[in-house]
Amino acid sequence: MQLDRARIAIRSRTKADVIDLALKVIRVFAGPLLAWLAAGAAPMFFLNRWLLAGFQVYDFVWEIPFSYMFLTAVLVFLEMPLVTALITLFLGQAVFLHKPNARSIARDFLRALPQLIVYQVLLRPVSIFHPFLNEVILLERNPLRNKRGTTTWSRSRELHRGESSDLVVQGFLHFCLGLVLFGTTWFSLAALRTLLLGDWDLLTGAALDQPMYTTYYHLLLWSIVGYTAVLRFLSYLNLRIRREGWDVELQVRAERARLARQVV
Amino acid sequence: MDSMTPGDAQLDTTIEIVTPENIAFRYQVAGPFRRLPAFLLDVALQTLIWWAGGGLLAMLFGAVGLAGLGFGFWLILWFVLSWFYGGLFETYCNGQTPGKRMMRIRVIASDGQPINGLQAVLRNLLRAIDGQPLFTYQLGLFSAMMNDRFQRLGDLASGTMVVVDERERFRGILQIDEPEVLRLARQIPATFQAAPSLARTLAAYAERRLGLPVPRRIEIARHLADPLARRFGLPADTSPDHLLCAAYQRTFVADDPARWQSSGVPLTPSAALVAEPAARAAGHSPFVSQPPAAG
Repeated sequence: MQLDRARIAIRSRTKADVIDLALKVIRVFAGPLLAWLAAGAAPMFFLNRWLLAGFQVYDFVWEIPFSYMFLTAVLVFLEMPLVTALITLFLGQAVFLHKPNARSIARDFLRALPQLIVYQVLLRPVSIFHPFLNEVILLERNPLRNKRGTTTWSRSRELHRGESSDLVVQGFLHFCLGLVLFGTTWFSLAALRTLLLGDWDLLTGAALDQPMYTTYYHLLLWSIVGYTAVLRFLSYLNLRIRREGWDVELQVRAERARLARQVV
Repeated sequence: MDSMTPGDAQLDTTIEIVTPENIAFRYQVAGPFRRLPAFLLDVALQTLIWWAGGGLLAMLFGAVGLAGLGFGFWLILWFVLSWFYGGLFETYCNGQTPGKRMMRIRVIASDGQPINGLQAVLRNLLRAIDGQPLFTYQLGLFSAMMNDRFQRLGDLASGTMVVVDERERFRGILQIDEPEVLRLARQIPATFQAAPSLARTLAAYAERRLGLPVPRRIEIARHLADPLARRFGLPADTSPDHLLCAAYQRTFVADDPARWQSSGVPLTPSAALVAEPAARAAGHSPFVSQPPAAG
């Protein structure tokens, strides 16, 4: 592992730069990212469909099931940390390794699962204010409880301390971005279906038949969740670089390894 | 597990262009999301001009009883603004519209040259294609995502790209005048000569240390300070932060700075990454800021 020769250039970036870099990361790792997203999201996809099977109540004017869409979005939001854990682990390896190891990703996921359940399921209302908690749990591997040393929560608190205003802005920016991506893709999808099916009555919702909501809507939400997972990972790296000089630390540790090799 | 090899291209938003004179320029390319605020500003400005122009035309032509003609000119103004606003500004303002200027981005040719009128007009006319389907810009976004220069279809057709128009400041050698650092620098053996990779690391550390809290500085510096202290025969309780600063002082200040200037080693590199042979780093997660192993 060559610490100062990461696959993603480790340097301090602006928020816009991080968002653009996420597009490049998605292109380069498209296959594995899609596979890990599918592995995480597929069970939730079927679970959500089952949970919401009786909620397809249409709005009487627009024939759009707003209540169904809202509840789906809420479920996706709650399940997001668990689903994106595999993507985070993959990216953590992809930064430094030529070929990330699927077996070690699965092993790391299982090892972190108890903490993910505690913080991201049971304590979700609290952990929502620590946007990079998933990265701390999965990549930094601190224990859940430790009487003297660092725990996951203390480490997360330390990482997020003094950053609340910046993280609120960043969270809002990512939310807006997700909303824009969702809106434009949804509209394109609806338009494409309308054009292909020859039904031009787009605005009345007549073309927006059930599969649009019960299948495509779910898939689109999970795709955007996948994108935001990449974005969150890159933002986490950026926060560590800016706050903790992580880029310098990697360089220093690599230099130490070189010195040790010279001595040997 | 396979390590990264030097052949693997690093993912970044910067590109290097080598001119026919064999001079390399590094640009930071602006992706779709960096360009979005500039685009929105331009749309707002176009709308403002259109409405202001409409008011002016209504006053002028309405006063002489030719309101219909005024409305016709208003439509022509809309046509010119929507199709040629970007092309005209980018041609005559060196690749910048007002929005791009405010956001500090610029359109240049793919070979690094300034764009010409044809390129500027073509890339803006093809915006209509990039905006598909139905002005959602999905086609443009997909195109930008699929290449390293974030070029939308208009850029690909006209051979242009959008870059960030910011110049990196060169800060030169840092002046470290802490007495403890200067004292330690004198204790470093005269035979010490930093290898280029070590010099880069010392420069990176010296540049960033003041932005980090003291405990974190020590945590980072200790990784390198421990082996250096042993090598220099310094006591084990020597401050790691001061020792790295002293090594920097010896390398760049007490040593001949001109040697480093000419060697290509950045004295305060903001993004310098080293391409040296692979080093196995003890098998720990690189995300964990663990203390260095003793011994």
